[in-house]
Amino acid sequence: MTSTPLDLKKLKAELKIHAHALGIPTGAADDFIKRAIQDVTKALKPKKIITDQDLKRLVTKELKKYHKDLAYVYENHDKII
Amino acid sequence: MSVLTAVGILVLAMLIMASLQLVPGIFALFSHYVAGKYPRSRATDLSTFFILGVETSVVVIFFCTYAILCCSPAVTFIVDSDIFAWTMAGIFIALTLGILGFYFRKGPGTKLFISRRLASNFNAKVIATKTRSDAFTLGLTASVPELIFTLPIYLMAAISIMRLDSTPLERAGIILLFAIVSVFPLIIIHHLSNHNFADFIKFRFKNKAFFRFVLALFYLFIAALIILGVTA
Repeated sequence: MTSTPLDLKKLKAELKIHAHALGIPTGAADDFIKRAIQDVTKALKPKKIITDQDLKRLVTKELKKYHKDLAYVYENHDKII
Repeated sequence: MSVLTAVGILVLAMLIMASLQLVPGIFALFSHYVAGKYPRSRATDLSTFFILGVETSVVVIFFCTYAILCCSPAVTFIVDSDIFAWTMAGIFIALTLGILGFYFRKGPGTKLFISRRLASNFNAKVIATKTRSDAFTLGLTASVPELIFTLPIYLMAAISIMRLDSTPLERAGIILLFAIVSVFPLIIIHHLSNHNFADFIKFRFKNKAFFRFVLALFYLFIAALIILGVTA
């Protein structure tokens, strides 16, 4: 098993791609992606290590508060093929 | 094989090509990512090249199968035998069981039978696609892992075309129609996924069992037609 440092910029870029593809207005998407990532960062503060799956679950949970479709696409896009 | 059986096999072969899930799955993901990364015109352009890649691979494999059947008398002799027909019927029954048993993986989503490493390679390629040639190559290679399910289809469709009393131009037209029907779902997906990708994924996940059942049924129908052709 390998560990990699958490890349929030990459996560943000990925979420922006999903949001743009879903037709969410850029301003609104930027705003709630920023807020969701802030919440994720807060939740992660006490933890030193987190698995990819737990991170995904956490991001999905935070995104659901702002945009359910975006949260669903982020959660399931790797289960298509 | 009668003309009616040949037409039946051809129609079923086209329906199977249109119902297989790997290429539509890769394309749905591809269409979503390019729509997220690029302006609409560029996204449509890249999606078109992906579809052209799939179309090219279908036409090339079909023509090669057809050419091998036509140009080699030994192969034609084998294809005409009853043993070959029974073998093909057996293969189609085995593929029916294969579709029911392992085409979709167990668990959430519509994860397919391909290895997870290959699936992540496709995911990575989809995300990394930037140019028309990337999109075209991805379209060309997308159908390769599914050849175990498609090669017998190409073979039976090529044999069926040989059995039809038609001119070479008409045969080329049928092959072209076969290729167009094969990529038709991709055009629908392109429009659907642009509207709401979340609904599209939900639809796929919800109807997974139905897709599997219909696909298995088509394979079984072809096996039945082959057996009917031998026994009649």
